[in-house]
Amino acid sequence: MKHRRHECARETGLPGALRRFGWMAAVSTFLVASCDAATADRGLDARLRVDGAQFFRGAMPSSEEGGPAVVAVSLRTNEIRAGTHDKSCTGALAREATSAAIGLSGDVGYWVIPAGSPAVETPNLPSFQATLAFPPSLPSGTYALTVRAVDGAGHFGLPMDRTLSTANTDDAVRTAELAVSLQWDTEVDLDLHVVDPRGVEIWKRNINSYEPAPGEPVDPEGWKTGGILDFDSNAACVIDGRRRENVIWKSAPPAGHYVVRVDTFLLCQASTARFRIDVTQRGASLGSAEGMSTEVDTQYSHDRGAGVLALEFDVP
Amino acid sequence: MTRRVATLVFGVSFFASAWSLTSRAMADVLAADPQATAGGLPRIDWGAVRVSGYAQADWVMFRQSSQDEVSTAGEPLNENRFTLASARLRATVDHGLVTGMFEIDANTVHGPQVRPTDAEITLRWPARAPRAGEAYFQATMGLLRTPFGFDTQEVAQRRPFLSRSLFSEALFPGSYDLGLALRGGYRFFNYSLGIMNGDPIGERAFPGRDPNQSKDLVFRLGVESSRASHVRVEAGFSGLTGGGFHEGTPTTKDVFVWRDVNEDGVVDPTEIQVIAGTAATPSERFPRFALGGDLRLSADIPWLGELSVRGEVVRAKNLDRGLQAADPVVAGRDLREVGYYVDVLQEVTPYAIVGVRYDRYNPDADKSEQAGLRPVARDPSFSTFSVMAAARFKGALVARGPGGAPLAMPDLGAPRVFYPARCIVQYDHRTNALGRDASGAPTTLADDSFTVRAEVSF
Repeated sequence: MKHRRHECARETGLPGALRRFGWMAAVSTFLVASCDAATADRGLDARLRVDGAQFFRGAMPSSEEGGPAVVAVSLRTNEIRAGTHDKSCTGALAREATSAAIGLSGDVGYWVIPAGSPAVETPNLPSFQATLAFPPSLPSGTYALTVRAVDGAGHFGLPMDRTLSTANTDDAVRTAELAVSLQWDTEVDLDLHVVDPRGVEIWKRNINSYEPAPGEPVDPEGWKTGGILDFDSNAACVIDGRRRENVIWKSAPPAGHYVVRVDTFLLCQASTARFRIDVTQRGASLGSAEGMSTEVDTQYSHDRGAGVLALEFDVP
Repeated sequence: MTRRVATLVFGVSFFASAWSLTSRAMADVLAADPQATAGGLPRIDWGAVRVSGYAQADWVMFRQSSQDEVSTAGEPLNENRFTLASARLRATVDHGLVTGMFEIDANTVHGPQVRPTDAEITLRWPARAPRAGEAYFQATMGLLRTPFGFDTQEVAQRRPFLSRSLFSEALFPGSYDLGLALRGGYRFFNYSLGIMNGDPIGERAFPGRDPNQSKDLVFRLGVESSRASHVRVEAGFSGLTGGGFHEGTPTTKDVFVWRDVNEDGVVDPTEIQVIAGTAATPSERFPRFALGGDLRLSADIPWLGELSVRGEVVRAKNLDRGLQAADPVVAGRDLREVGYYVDVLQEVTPYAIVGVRYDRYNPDADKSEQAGLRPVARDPSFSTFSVMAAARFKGALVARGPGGAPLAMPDLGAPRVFYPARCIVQYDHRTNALGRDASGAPTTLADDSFTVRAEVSF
C-alpha cells in the first residue's frame, strides 16, 4: 500500500499552504485516512480500460504465496483493433478468489473487477466477465493481457497471460503497393472516394475496385487485386473513434491518373472538421492534401461521384 | 381507501379551520375598527412588501474525486471551482391574517439556473407573529418546506454547516415540495401536519410534479423548552406515509443490432441480430414511509457563548428520492433506508462558531452482492465527518413582537437570529462504498473536500 499513499498525496493536488493550514487545523488525519481509499481515477490514459472496474495506477503487486489461481481466460479472438470498446473477456477463478485483476503489459495501471456467480461450464468456481476497451491511439504491436485472481485478503495469485496483437492499419498502409488515407480531427462522418484510372470508384458502397473484364468469368481471388476500402468510419454518426479510412492495393495498382474526393456525409453536431489525405506507394509519399468540411458540404449528394476534389495523382 | 379517507378528513378539517379562523379574525377587525365596513367592504391595512435574501458563494479549494474530465453524460467532473451555491431573493407580504411569500433561487451548481424555491400563501391566527408561549395556528399552501424533522426545515442562513445531512438530502431533496401544511403550537408544544405531492423540487425523476394521485402525509410533533431556560431542549417526532411511483415503459419496436462476434470491425450477415420489441408495461405505485426523531440541547457557556448538541435519526422505506432513488419494483424488494447525524456547535464570542458533525446514511440496509461463490451482505452507507469554523456578524433578533418580546416561531420563515455576513470554512471527510479494493470488496472512493463559503444576507 505504500505506493498508493504516495500516489494519493500527489493526486490531490493540495496546495502547500493549504496543507499546512490543514495540519494546523488538525484535520490532516483525514487526509491520510482518505489516501487509503480508492481513487476516482478513470484510467483514460491507460491502454487497457475495463468497463465498470476499479482502476489502480501502477504495476500489479507481485504474486504472493497462497494467492488464488486463474483457472481459465476466454477471449473470442486474440486480435484487437485500436478503438475497440466492447471486447469480451471471461473466465473462471479458483474457489477462494473474490476478484480478478486485469492488466496489459507496459500499461500505466491495472483494473480490478469483482468475481461473480459461477458460469454454466464451471459450476463450482467463481467467474468474471469483463468488457475491454482500447484507445484509438493504441500503438501497433503485441501485448500480454494478464489476469490474476485475488482473494478476500488481497493476495494476488499467479498470472495467466493471453497474447493480443493489434490489427493496425498503419502497418497495412506502410506495406501497401498503393494506399490512399483519409484522416480527420473531430467525430464526424466523412467518406473517402477514390476513382482509379479505369473509372472505377471505390467508396463505402463499392469497397473493392475489382471488376472482371467484359465476357470473362469472375476470378474468385480477383478481389485481392483491387483497391479495398478498409472501413466506413463514424458511419451515420455511430462514433467508432477511428476517424480514418484507407483504400489499399496489396498488389500492383493500375497505372494512370487517380482522383481522390472527400464527401462530408454528416457533421454529427460539429461545426467543422479538418481532414488530410495522404497517398503512399510502398511507403513513399506520392502526395498529400488538407481541407475543411463545413455544413454546406453536407447538403450535396452523397452517392457515387459525391464529395469535393481533394487530390489528383498519377501512378506510373 | 384508508389513505383517501385520511386525505379527505385532512382537507375538510383544513377548510373548516380556515373558515373558522377567517370568521374570527374578521370579527376581531370589525370589533376593533367600526369604520372598517365603510362602503360595505372591509377595509384592510395592507402591509408593505418586504424584500430579503442572501447569496452564498463557495470555493471548493480541493476535492479528491475531482477530475479534469467529463462524465458519460457530458457533465464536467471537476469540483475544484468557484460556485454560486445559492442566491435567493424573497418577497414577503403581511396582510395580518393572510401572509404570502415568494422566493426564487439562482445558482450555478449544475450550470446557471433560476427556479422558484418557495411560494407560500398562509392563513394564520393570531393575525401577527405570536409571542413566546402564545397559541398560534397557521395553514399554508404552496411550495413549502416538507414538515419533517429538523434538518429539512432549517433555514439556510442559520445552518452552520455548508449543507444538510446526507439522509435529509436523499430523502427530501431540495427540502421544498408542493402541498398544504397546518402548523401550530401552544406553550412548549408545537406541531406540523402536511399533505404533500411527494415529489420535492430536488427529486431526480419528477421534480415539482406529481405523477400519481397518491399524496404524502407528513407530520412533526415537537416540544420546546423556554428560551429563558439555562439548558434549552427541543425535540420532535416525525413521520411520513405515502406512495412512490414506478415509471412504466412504452411499447418498443423491433430493432436490428450488430454484434461484432469475430471482432474484425466489419459487418457480416451472421452478426446481424433482431431484438424483438416488447409491449408497454404499466406504471406502478409502491408504498413508502419514514419515521424520525430529532433532539437539540443547548446551553450558554460563560465567556464563550452557546453550546449546542443536535442529533436526528430516520428510518425509512422506499423513500430515497435524491441520492439513490428507491424503486422497489425494479429492485424486486423493499429498500430500507437508515440515517442519522450528530453535531456539536460552540459559539466562540458572538463573532465565531466552530462545530463538528458526523452523519451517516444507508440507502439500502439489506444490500448484498456476490463475492466469489458466496452472496455476502454489503454496507453501501455514505458518511461524512465535517469540521467547520465560521466568522460572522451577528445581527439583532428580527422576529420580535410588540414591546420587543421574543417570538416563539420564525416570522414567515425568516431566521430568529440574523447574520448579515458569514465566512465558513469546512473540511469534509467522506466515506462511501463506491470504490473497490484489490479483493473486489467495496471501499471508499476518496472524496474529501475543503470548502470556503462567503455569505451575505439582507
